Amino acid sequence: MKILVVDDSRIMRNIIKNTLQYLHQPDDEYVDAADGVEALEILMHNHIDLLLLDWNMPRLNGLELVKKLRSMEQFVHLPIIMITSEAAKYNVIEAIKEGVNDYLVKPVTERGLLSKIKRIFPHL
Amino acid sequence: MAGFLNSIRRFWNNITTSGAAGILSMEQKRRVVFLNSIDLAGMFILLAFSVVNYRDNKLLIAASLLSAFFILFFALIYMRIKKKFVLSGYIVVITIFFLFLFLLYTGGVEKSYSLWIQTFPLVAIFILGLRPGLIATGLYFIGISCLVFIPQAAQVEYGFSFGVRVIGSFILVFFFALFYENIRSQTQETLEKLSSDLLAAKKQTDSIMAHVDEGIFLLDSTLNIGSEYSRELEKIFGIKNLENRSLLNLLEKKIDEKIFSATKDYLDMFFKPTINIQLLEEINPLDRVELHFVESDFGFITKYLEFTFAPIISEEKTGNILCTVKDITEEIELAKKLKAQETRTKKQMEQLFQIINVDPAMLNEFILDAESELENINTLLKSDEKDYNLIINSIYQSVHAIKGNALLLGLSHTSKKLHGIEDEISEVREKELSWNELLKFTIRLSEIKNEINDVKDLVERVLAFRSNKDVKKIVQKDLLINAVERTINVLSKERNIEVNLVTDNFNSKAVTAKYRKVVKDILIQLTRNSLAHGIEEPKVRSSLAKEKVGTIIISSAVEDGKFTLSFKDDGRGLNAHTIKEKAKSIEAFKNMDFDGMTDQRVLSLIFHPRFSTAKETTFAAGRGIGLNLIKATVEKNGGSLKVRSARGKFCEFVITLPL
Repeated sequence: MKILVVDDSRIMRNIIKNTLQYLHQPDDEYVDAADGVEALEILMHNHIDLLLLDWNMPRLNGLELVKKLRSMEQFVHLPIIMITSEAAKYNVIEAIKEGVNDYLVKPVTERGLLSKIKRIFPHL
Repeated sequence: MAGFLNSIRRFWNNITTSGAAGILSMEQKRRVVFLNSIDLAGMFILLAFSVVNYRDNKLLIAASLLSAFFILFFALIYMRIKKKFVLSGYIVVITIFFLFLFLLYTGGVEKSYSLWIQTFPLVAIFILGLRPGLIATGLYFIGISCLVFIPQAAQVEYGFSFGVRVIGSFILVFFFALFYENIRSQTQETLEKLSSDLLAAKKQTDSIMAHVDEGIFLLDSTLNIGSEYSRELEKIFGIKNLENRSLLNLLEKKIDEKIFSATKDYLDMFFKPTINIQLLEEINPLDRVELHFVESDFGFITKYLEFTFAPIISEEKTGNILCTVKDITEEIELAKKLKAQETRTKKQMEQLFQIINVDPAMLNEFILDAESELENINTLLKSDEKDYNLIINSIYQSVHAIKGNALLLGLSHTSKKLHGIEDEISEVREKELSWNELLKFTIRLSEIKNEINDVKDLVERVLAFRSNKDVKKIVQKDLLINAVERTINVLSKERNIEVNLVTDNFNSKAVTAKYRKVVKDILIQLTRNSLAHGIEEPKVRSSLAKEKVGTIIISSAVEDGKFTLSFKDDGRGLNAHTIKEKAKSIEAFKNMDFDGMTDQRVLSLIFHPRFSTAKETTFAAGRGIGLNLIKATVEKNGGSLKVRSARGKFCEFVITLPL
């Protein structure tokens, strides 16, 4: 499975990537991007199975990227998990309305991330 | 035309349901309607035939038909008034019984009456029910058999073969009637059983819905409330008849706008083809929501509600959302109260530790002083005084005085609270005040009163732990000097300086009861000034070749009917230059001629209400009201105040009060 991690903080990207590595099989592949524009570039040229997306980013933020992806036919069914420090429910609801499959409130923990991924891929 | 038809229908319904009012069972109602219809139809036919026969000069038949008509008419009226459908039914059936037998007896045109009589089983069985109907039909069968088969039994001769046909068709009609009634009554029974089961189930649901202490309801895809919901829901929203009301309408303008629009999106998600129930449960925006209900023109009441939503899925689609709502206002309020109580208890404990070593007599004095200050303000507020700025200044000075006392007793909570109120008043002191604005501060006064009462409680608790002997000893100590000592203790620690208090020439007995509070206020205020502005830090003092420890000398004298109080410190003294520079920067002094001023005149500026030289406002000093307050108090009592100072050496205040 190829997972794309998008976050403007390198530390955060590494934390997420380490957490993922700890959880999954060795043949999983991880790609990362620092913002929405970069992420879009990677998505256009690679097959990605899961997108882990930060909310607040420069250039193209998480929600804008989701809107853009969902308007493109090839990304309508791409599983997206939004990672947010915003615990306010109306924000989460807005994101889900725009097409996010699930959300995760920071801080990212192994348990939290695993349970969210399992919800999308129950066979894992 | 339609109206006319309607009124006919209404009339027909009215007649045929005669006597049916109050009858619950469907079966009985059907029998009443059937009875009345037969009765009515029979009356018409009888009347018509009686007229025909009369015209044909068959008077006996006309008369019997007419009497049958009247009997049926009577039965209908009786039914209408007495509502006894069983008896009315018997009257109708028996009348028809004898009428038909009589008609068969007479024969009619070409024996045509033998046709009419065939209808009896239908009438008897439908009106009387199965068993009595069968008996009546049996008797009737015997009757007609006799009339048809026994020669000369009737007026006409029916003959055997005709008779067999009459009886044969009668038996056929009878069997059909029997068959139909049997099936009908069985169906009826099943239906009634079913509907009574339904009724019982509905009763149970109703009882649950009426007594459950949660709002339970269903939402359809348009987010409207369904017909079955619990009474509690009406209570929660304070609205009756919620069927078909939109939930969003009920919430609109009562909850936060962001939450409101999120709620709409959220509820719509339940009807999307792919839903994740667990996720929906997690992001419920109404799991704890604050609602503001407009109560009257004056304001609103706040309720806290807890909603849950669960989709009811049939055929892989959400049909409805099952919702529950609970009023959790009391829980939330209780939690808030507990929190407030906890804070208060914590505060009291802290204060208790602070005052446990303070003389109870001093605490009592603090309370008495504070109460008298509050009393003064109350008197002022009740008076005709129209100068609101004067009133607010008085409040300010009282708050300041109480704060000073609280501070020196180490009541840090109380003094912090008072400091906050002082700040608030400071902000508005300069402005033109209205009565309403002033009233706001009277609320603050009651807060102060509560603070004082809390201290009172604490003092009582502390006293409960001490023996009477201890208390007496404490009271005998010199309270005035004690107050000054405490001020020094508190403030010298704060500023890291050391001060030695000399009171050898002070006779507290010379202070009359009238001046006790005045003298105390003055001494405390001067002490605070001295420790804030006068006495230097030990390092500074050493560098100036002064003793490290500063000295404050308080002395008193009684001469020529005057009481003189002197307060002297060996601090940096008053600096005319600094005072002048400071005064120049103050808005209130901008029109003054500073160049032509004598030093003595410059020094007197420190008594002005707007003057303060401390760079920052701390608890202890820097508000520029203290010296002004002293001057005002002294002058009010007909006394005088002088200040003498040598720069870098000392500063002395001499107060004279008439005895």
